[in-house]
Amino acid sequence: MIMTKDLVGGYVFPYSESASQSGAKKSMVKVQELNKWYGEYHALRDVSLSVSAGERIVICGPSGSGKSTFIRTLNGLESFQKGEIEVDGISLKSDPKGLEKIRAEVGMVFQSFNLFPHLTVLENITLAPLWVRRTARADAEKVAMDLLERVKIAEHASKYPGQLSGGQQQRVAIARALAMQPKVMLFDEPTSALDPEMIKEVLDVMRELASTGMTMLCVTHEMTFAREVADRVIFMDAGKIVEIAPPEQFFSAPQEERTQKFLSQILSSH
Amino acid sequence: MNERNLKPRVHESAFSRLKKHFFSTKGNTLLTLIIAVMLLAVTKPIVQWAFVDAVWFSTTADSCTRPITEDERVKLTEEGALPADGRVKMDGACWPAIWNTAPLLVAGRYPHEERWRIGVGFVLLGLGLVFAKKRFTKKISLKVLSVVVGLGAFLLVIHGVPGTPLKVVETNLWGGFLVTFVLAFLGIAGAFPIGLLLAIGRRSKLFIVQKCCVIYIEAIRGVPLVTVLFMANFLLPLFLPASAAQIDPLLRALVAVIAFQAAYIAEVVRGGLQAIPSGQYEASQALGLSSLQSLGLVILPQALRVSLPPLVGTFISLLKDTSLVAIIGLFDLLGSARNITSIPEWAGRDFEALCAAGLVYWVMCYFLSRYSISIENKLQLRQAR
Repeated sequence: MIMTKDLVGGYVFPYSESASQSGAKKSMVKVQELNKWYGEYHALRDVSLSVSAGERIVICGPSGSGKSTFIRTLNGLESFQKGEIEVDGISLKSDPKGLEKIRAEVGMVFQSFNLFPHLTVLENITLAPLWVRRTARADAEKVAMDLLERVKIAEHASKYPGQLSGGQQQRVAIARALAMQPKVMLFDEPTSALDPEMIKEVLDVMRELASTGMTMLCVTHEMTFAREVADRVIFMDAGKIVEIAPPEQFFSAPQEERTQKFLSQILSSH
Repeated sequence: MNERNLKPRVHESAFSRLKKHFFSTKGNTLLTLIIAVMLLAVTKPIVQWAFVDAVWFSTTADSCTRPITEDERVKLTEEGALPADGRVKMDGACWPAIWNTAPLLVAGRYPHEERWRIGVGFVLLGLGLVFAKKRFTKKISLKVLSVVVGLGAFLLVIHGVPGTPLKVVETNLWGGFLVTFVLAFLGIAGAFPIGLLLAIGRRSKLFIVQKCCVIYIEAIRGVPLVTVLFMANFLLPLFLPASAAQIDPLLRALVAVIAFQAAYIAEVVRGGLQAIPSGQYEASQALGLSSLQSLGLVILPQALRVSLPPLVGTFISLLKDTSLVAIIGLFDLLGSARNITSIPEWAGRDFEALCAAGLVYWVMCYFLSRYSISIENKLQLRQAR
């Protein structure tokens, strides 16, 4: 994909129209020959990927394949030694101010929720808008309540995270990331720490989010979700991208032998 | 908050409970009896001395003594220990020794006509602390300001301001509870922020900052407080220019206490910081918070909660350690208590004085630990699962 330099006007979630509908597909995330080492261990090998605005990417692969590491480099939670990352035209490496700018534009949802246990649900969501965006408290709280309404837990706004179930906590975490009005959302195995009956409520929220045209990169083992929502599915193994394909092709006719093996293992277990 | 399914209560009579806890087997009955006899043997003379035989209220020392009997006169004359006034101490405690020397115990040699200022000072400080409560303000900066203003007013009123009706009372006239309180309260107020910075510095990625903090903490923790007090009092003035050598002795002791306790507080807070999972840092960074904001809004509030109980433990030991300033010639509560026996009419009343001082220390420590428990309970209630 060729990156278009022209910046389409302000893209404000969730009220803007989807970028894929507007036709002008600009590149939202651009990764070139990314390499990362943990000491001697080569964790990411020449990973290159371009994600256009509004695109939904699902990344899968066996554990230790580098998929989580990869997604965490995109907002600077992991450093990298070689290569180039650009998010919404901001380079992660050259610009020293780039990191904080990118983090404000990229929302992240973790496997273990990582809500702030000493703050209420509402305070969790308004914290970053108040301190990073300097939004007025009344506005921040209104946005937060709207988001809680969307993830269907508005009635728990004044509770503490410890009083909620895992599924509820993860939905709060999604709302917390969305409160910064990010241009890209990263999901790092958002349902892996959940009990089966709570997975659906989180996936429903993610489906709804996908339908609004949010650019999403999602590490997950939920293959049904991938088939349903993803524009492209990426298979990683041993720090490399092995295969990228649209879901129908990925699941029905995987090209690489390793992908076939992985799929047969993961699908037979379901 | 949470609806709990209450366990049904089984009624237990006092007798059956007594039996269950103390006399359930032959061996336990024996143990109970032995311990009861021992307790009685120990407590009886104490109660006898402190309450039963004690003299409670009087304005003169005579009420605690009695004329000696003829037998005693003979015996004491043989020993050459005949008291000049022909009176001996009675068996019980002499509490008037405490009431009548109370001003000395509270304020030391603080001038008599200026003592009202101590009361005013404590009231002002109390107001400062009350205004820092949640009811009045939620802003941390205002809370800190309120405490600092209260403390400033406390010190100004008690120390005095040159050129105003509040005459300066030099700190060498301060003593007793006042000195203990000033050292402990200012010690905590000073050591806490420094300890916090040291703890954060020890986890810094900057090599020099990190090493400096480690060296400071380990050096201080390797020496006793007595050594630090001696250094601050006797050695420091030798190194400083002559003008600085005149630093107030109380201030020197305070600096030593702060420097000493900051290292311990740093270690306690570091423990709390380590208890915070890395996901909390990652989540706050991922939201775009700067590292200072992550620290102040996410990490420290949680770390301080975790370290509250050991932190209060440190504060309590600080409070009691202030009694060591006696060795550099300051008369704190304990020093003043021992000093009242140098007043001729209360000579020999060491035990009463030490009991009184001990009780005051105990009340202060008890208050501190109750206060920390109440904070803990409040926090736990808020994050209840």
